[in-house]
Amino acid sequence: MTASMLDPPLHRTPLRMVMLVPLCAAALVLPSTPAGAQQASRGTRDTTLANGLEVKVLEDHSAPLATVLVTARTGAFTQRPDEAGLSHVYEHMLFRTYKLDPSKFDEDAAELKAVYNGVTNEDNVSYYMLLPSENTDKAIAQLAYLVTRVHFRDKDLDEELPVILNELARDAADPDGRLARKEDRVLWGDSWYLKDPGGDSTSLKHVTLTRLEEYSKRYYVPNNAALFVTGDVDAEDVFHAAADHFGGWHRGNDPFAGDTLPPMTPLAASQVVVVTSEAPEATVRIEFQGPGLDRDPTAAEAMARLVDILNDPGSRFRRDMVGNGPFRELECDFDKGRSAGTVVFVGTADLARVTEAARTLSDTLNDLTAYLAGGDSASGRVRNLEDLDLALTLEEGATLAPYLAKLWGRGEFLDLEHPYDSNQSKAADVLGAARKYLEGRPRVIGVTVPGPLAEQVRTKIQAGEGRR
Amino acid sequence: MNATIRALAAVVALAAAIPSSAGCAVPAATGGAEADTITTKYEVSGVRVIQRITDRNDIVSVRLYLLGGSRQLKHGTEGIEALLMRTSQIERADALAAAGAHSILEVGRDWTVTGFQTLRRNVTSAWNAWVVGVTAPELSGAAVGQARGEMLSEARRRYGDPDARVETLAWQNLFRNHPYRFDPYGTVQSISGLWGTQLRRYARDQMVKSRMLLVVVGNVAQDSVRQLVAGTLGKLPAGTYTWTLPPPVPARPNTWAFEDRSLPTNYILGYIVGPPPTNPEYFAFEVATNLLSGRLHDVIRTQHSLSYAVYASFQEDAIPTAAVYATSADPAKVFSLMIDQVEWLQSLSQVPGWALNHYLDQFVLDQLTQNLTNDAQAQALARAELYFGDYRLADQYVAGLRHVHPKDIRKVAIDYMRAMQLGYLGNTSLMSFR
Repeated sequence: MTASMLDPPLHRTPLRMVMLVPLCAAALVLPSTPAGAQQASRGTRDTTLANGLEVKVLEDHSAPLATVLVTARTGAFTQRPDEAGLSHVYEHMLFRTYKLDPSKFDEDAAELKAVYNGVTNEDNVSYYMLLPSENTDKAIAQLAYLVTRVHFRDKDLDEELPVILNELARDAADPDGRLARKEDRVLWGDSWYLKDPGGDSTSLKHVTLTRLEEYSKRYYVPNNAALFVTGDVDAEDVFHAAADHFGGWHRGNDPFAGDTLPPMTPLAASQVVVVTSEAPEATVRIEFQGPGLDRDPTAAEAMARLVDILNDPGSRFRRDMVGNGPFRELECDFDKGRSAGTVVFVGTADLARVTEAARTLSDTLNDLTAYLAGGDSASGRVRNLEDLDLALTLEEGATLAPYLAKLWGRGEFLDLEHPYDSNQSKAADVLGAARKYLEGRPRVIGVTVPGPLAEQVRTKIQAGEGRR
Repeated sequence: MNATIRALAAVVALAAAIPSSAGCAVPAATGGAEADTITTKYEVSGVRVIQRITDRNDIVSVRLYLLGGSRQLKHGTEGIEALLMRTSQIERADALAAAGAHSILEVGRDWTVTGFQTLRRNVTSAWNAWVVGVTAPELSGAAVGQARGEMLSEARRRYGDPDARVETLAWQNLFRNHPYRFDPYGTVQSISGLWGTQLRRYARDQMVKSRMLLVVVGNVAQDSVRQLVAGTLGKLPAGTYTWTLPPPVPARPNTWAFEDRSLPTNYILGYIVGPPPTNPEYFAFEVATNLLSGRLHDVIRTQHSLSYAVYASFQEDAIPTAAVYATSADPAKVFSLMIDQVEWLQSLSQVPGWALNHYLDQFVLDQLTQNLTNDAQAQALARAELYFGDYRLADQYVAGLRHVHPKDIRKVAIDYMRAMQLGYLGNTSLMSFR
């Protein structure tokens, strides 16, 4: 269906990716130098400046466009327990305080005929400009100025916080967004702050200028950052421009020296979350803690394949859940993360069948063997579609920088030299991932229903889970 | 230089030139523009086809436009074409996935699009899997039931989602007493009343060649396309449909459609109707909308910190509109500032040339970015053919924008931005609605 004019931009189906398997997975020590800098070179041309800044270029000469992006390895995963949203506030503040004029970044970008944005993820924070490729050098200069010449004032923080709070309020106004956030919070418990880049009105009160400056000094150092340029550029020219504009950025201490990845709090028992909604229709959403890219890379790849198999429009799983089952619609997703990922099953159902839908899905996820039968042939069919997805993503090569940066933040890369051989998951791996992370595992079961039904639905779902 | 690069280069070259114009919304298709030798328009057994052959990649986009949209509908049949095509999509999903293709289904007020994207190696098998859903849909009870269920679910969720709800309020307000008041997605009431018998009758009467425009972009030989069309779509009845632009929307003063709802923030959305694509002022209205958007962002977000999301967006439909949108905890102040910015635009004695050029430069970027993919190019070709009457104008869109003179901006702001039809969702005690 046509997207609503007010919808956020659509995301492409996730690509098949290759993980950078840590040399010593058991130790789980955060890398003191950027993970896998050499491996990440496949498909891109790379160099590292003397100050430690990684520079990665993907040439695509199909249109006179380029995307220039600078990213730092920080985000939710580097936050302290009481300051969720700090990375996001910092991202907003950089734009507002650029040259001490909140309109100045926009004006300078306009000179370059550029559009721009910033994005805060769990594993990295990025700032990027999309522009005619003839202005690439000047865009590198502008982004270098943005991230290296930081000067915050109390006034700026006072002015920007209401904007951020309105962004959060807008997210919270959507019942499905509210359900997702509430379930995430329950799923990750005491570790939630490591998964929440946005924060909330309470946590944002702890953000002070002093804290932002400390944060800046620790994480915004060249040896914890990368410059990505994709599009109609020459890699050698980019390397020279990077050295010119970022070469004076002083190397800092390793922000992760001696740190270990904080352990994620396991979910002890299944829980039920109910969110009220005005819509006369229910959303049913079940979440699991999934494998992390650092801790269980084989299972993480297998989980990505598993959701593709279950999402296949011709799969028995979809027939049983949607065609012949209580769901109107149902989708599966695996949101990867370094320490742990999130496996999500989300669908819609008639209000009269919401309890049945939640129970049926939860029961089915305790025995997926039948749905994953067919093993390698099911994988083969899915791979045909995965090839198409990859081609569709590469079609927009000039705009790929944000995507590549997100992979970099998670320690992954896109293997452009062997794109169709990347995910080597076998049927046994997929079944193994299902058994280890889904079947019989604690989960968070969430629904949106109108207020008067909330308690009744909660009680019924809890009773169903309790019988297991 | 390969074909796509040539096409994109032509866009850039055109964007750099500022030809003079008078009395024409877009430059003449052959007026000095580089000839589009990679795109052709032809007919196969009565089916109109626009095809662009590009060897840039292996992706093939196939889009079949079923023309009419809201004007195909009446009370009680809202959503019928969407339901028909959704049912077909469900029935063909397994075969399409097996063929390595993603299905396309887009429902809009001007038309419905069905089609697919696949890799070149799979085109024939994907076509065969897809086209049955157009020429001979099975419409089994199970598939109709599933499609209806999905659409009912979406209709109900549009009520719960604040963005979708305020869009519905504003849109219904704008198009009351106009054919576009009929929702092509359907309402809960209309979808609930649609059954297999009606779908079969609709398919029999409306799946006719005169309603169809097929657009194919990718590295596929024309002979292959001709062969695929002739053996399938070409055998459908001709029909008597003729595509025209919809009737204009009568002018009215500002009116509100509002709904009280307890939410963490409040939503305002206003529609301003612009000139039709055949009007010389069409492009000036688009530029004015974008100038307004920049101004709204600067004043309401940057200077007053009143909103995270505030903008004006040009909606490229047969009836073009500027959608003026904001969320805020202080909606009255935001709305007052919105009106101030429209008045600012109307009072501009002269838009500085540099400011205009800045916006035009960004249009060039938008056009390049939006045409990176084969599917986007297929969409642009279809829009140019149906809105402007010639697919070749797709690559000259930026040239049309370059015709805009600074004085045109003020004129369209005065002529068209006199009234908004507004939707509001949130705390109604914070607004006066006058």
